[in-house]
Amino acid sequence: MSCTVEIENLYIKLSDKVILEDINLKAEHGDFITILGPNGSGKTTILKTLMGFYKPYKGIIKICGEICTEKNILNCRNKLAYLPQNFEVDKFFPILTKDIIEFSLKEKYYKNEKALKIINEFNIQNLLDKPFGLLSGGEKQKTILAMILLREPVILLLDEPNLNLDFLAYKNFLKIVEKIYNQKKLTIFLITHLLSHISDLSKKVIVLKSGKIVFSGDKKEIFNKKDYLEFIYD
Amino acid sequence: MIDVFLFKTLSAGILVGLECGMIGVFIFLLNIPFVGVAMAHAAMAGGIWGIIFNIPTKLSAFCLSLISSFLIGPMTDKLKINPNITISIIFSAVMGFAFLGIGILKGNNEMVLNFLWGNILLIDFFDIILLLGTLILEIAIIVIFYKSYLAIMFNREIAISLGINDKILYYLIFFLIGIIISINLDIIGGLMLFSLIITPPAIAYHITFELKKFFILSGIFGAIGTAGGIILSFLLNLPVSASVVLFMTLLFIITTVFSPKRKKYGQS
Ligand SMILES: Nc1ncnc2c1ncn2[C@@H]1O[C@H](COP(=O)(O)OP(=O)(O)OP(=O)(O)O)[C@@H](O)[C@H]1O
Ligand SMILES: [Mg+2]
Repeated sequence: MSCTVEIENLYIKLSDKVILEDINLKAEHGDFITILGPNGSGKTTILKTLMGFYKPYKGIIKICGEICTEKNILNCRNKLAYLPQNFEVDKFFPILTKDIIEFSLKEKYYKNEKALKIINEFNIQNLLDKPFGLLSGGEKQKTILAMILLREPVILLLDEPNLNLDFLAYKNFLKIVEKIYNQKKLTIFLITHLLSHISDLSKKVIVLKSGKIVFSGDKKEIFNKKDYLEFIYD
Repeated sequence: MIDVFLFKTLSAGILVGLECGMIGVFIFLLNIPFVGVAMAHAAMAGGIWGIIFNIPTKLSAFCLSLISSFLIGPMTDKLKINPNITISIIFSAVMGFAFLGIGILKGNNEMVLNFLWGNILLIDFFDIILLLGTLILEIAIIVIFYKSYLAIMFNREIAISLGINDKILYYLIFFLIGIIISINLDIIGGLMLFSLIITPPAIAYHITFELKKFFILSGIFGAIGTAGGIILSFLLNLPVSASVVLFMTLLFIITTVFSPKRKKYGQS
């Protein structure tokens, strides 16, 4: 099924402050969009609004052609998978890694072929019986990603997945994402500050500044600018 | 004679320990320890105003503590603040309410003391049925919504994105906490209740990394604590509540010293 993401004339107000202003955006099915912009520019807010965590003050969001309202929010959410920017967990919180995987399953993970396959691909077999709180940042990230992918989303929202990862771990993480992108033809939105590590597969870039989209288009176009750093971060 | 009496008290104690221990898991993981204290005082205020308006005090106490528990979830969500703040606001409000009533009544302190200490020795058959009923309700809710609650307590944002209706389930926890605390409060009083909802999960926390076992262990430790405390109080002729609370604390100290979790996973 082909599935677009459309945001039209979107305004988000939080605590009486306008956080997003007149956002217009259309992602075709299979787009891999990288979202850039300085701290506090509203990147996370866009993804959370897509998830339906915030109600638009004005404007609409369409996912797979369907306008998302409070009524059909679960419908919209079902097509999305969201990897939050940070998920702090108490070290001793009573949850095992396999419990996380099983959030997306009706049965035990070892009775589900898809789960076994993704566990294998992500190379997290030996983590399953460990307490989730004791995993490293990268291991946590991989586990959550595996879990949300098991829900077979059409659209993947990744909020700064590099945050807890070292150089190599992030490269590996991107490889996994790229592989899944190629296999399943997902639409991906990925927020990052690591300009040197933007996936080759991501052709489109959006730049946000103080809640407005200041650039939306070809990745090459922006990195051909001499002063692209100033353009994005000043 | 004494044996029948001990048996009745023990069975009530075990039911109380089981359900308080298990509900304590929510209270522990949501980090809202004072929900019990706030509700104990809501019940006290309810009882005092029951006298003033000539309503059965049991009923008015139960109603007020239940109402206050219903307010916590929605208030916390609407105001977007820490539930402990909501609980504290309710706590101070019911305290004000209680003291206003005491001022109007003048005297009659015995009842106030009863809300703090309860009286497990006076339980009757009806109480045991109530305890059994709430225990079944509690277990049913935990079993049916187990995965959803695990997700909500783990991370609410992730839970929402999994399509879990977090609001209704979040309110349902407070509803359940409210019912269980209100019913137990009348039987065991605020002080023992506080110990029974906090200490068993704190003990279980030392032992397991699985929520399922956490619930089971916390319930079992609650039951062991109350049963042990009651038996001790019969043998040594001590006040029941004090004996249970102290026995529970002893269990906590022992498990803390021998904590398998800490042994295995180092400091902190
Ligand atoms: N619930 C809220 N209430 C009020 N303001 C908020 C709320 N959440 C976020 N903001 C504000 O909205 C703005 C955008 O926040 P957002 O998290 O979207 O930024 P970001 O681009 O993701 O930043 P970063 O790169 O630091 O992650 C910030 O100024 C932030 O302070
Ligand atoms: Mg952000």
